[in-house]
Amino acid sequence: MSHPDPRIQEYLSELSALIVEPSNAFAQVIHSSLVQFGMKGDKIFNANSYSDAVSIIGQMKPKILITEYMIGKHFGLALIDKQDEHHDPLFRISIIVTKESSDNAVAEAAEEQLDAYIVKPFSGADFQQRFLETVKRKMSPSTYLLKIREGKELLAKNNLAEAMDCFENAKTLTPKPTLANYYLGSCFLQQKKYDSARTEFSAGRQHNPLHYKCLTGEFDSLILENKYKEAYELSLLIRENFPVTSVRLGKFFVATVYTEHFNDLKALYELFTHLDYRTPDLINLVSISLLTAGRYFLRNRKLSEALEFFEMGSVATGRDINFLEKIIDDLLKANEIQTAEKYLKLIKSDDLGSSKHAQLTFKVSRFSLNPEALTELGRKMVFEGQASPEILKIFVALLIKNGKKTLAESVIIKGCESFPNIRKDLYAILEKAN
Amino acid sequence: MSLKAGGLSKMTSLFEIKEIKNLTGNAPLSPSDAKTEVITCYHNEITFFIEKAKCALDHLISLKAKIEINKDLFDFEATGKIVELTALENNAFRIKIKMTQLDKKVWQKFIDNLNKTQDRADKILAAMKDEDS
Repeated sequence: MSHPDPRIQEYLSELSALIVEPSNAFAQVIHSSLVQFGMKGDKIFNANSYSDAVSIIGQMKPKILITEYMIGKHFGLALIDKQDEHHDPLFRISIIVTKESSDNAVAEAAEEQLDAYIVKPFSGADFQQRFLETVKRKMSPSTYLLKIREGKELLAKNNLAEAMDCFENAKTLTPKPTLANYYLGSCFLQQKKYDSARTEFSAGRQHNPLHYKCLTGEFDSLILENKYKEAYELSLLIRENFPVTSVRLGKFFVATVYTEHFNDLKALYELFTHLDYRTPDLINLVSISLLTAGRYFLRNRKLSEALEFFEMGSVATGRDINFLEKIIDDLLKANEIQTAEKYLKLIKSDDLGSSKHAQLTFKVSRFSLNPEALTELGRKMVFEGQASPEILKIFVALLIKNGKKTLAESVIIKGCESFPNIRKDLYAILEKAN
Repeated sequence: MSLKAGGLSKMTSLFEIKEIKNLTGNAPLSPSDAKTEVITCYHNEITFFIEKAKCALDHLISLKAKIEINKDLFDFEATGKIVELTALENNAFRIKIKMTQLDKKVWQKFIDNLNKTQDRADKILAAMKDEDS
């Protein structure tokens, strides 16, 4: 390997680096390359666990971060956020070196403003070449990029007016100032000036029709304006041309549900299943979307389509009992008793015996059990404290219907101990019978 | 820049060494439990990390490996010569072998896929960051 330009060596000699690489073999190759490029050995730190890496970033504030995509159960990308607490993304160097090569993984990295994504095993001088290219870019940024940085710093200090002046100024420094358009659009978004924001994003897209930041900026603006039809149309363009990241996918679900393109949710669900990382918020959003689609088809008496979405939702939530409860309630309302029974059986073994499980069993069983067995099931639930207000009301009404007023009174007294606020409702059911 | 992605594409290029023999010493290059890891594949050369190796520069080596190119698996065999040998910590070595006899068709397919994977990563990153300049 040839030695780099002496200016690069001089630049690197002042910097510190952190290598987060569980593989010793790769850690050593990267370490020796950095030394060869002019870095000082005592300024290169190694970490093979996430917690060590976080600690080193906090203490040593390395300007260069080279990390695996996955470090144990943690994402290397999270370390970039930590590094950004100390350095501006335009001037720090963050590189992922990994065996993970899905489009989605690279896209997630791009959203984090990664500088290079290098796939293992290396082909030839992959690491050296990409590292040096990145360093060159960072060493001598253009006047335009410096102006963008200045604007971003002002933005970080909440100095919106001066930041906007800066981005306006940046527009004059290059023939296709898409980034300046993007940041200016983002400033307008912050001010809730949606028309102006979209004008900027649109101007950026005139320089580059598929400029990712401007496309997603425009999409975000449309979502904020509740212009779901236009947002949905734009989401198709983004999906057709770029890998979808977890943040973006949630918003695509929103636009698709609001425009009732329910069948398109299947493709989005497919993308969801391929994500490397799913936040609890995204899982929640996806499950609500799929439930909404299922309910839509159930309302329209298209049971098989409805079940398809309910099934996807169950999988997405990992058969969460609260999610299954919603499906069972909907199916019971639609008089789909046998299907509700099937969903009752999907409840995970961990949840069997829980109050929720008992409540759902009662709700479903009341359509199939004989009155004596159902009375015994309800009585047991009430006296074991497993009945919810809803179950208490159903059970009291059922007892009265079956002529068991005395037991109904006992159930009301017991139920009011746990839920005093429904006392009136329960006695109202009793009085109505009298 | 359009990537025509769809977001699901995943290219894999895996090279797993199964057996390495030192033909000059007529013995396994290292004990069967020694860890190996491929670092670089380029032209007819392969560089890997190996523990507890017994070898020297210019020794002749034979290797058997499993190659995965996307979802296709291939058995790969090659012989070659050690052209670089770097001693590392804990009795480990980084060894570069120049392969002289090999299944060129499979190897080239593997190298091409490795390059394509890297190119695709570069393109996605460039398209999504698009930092003007």
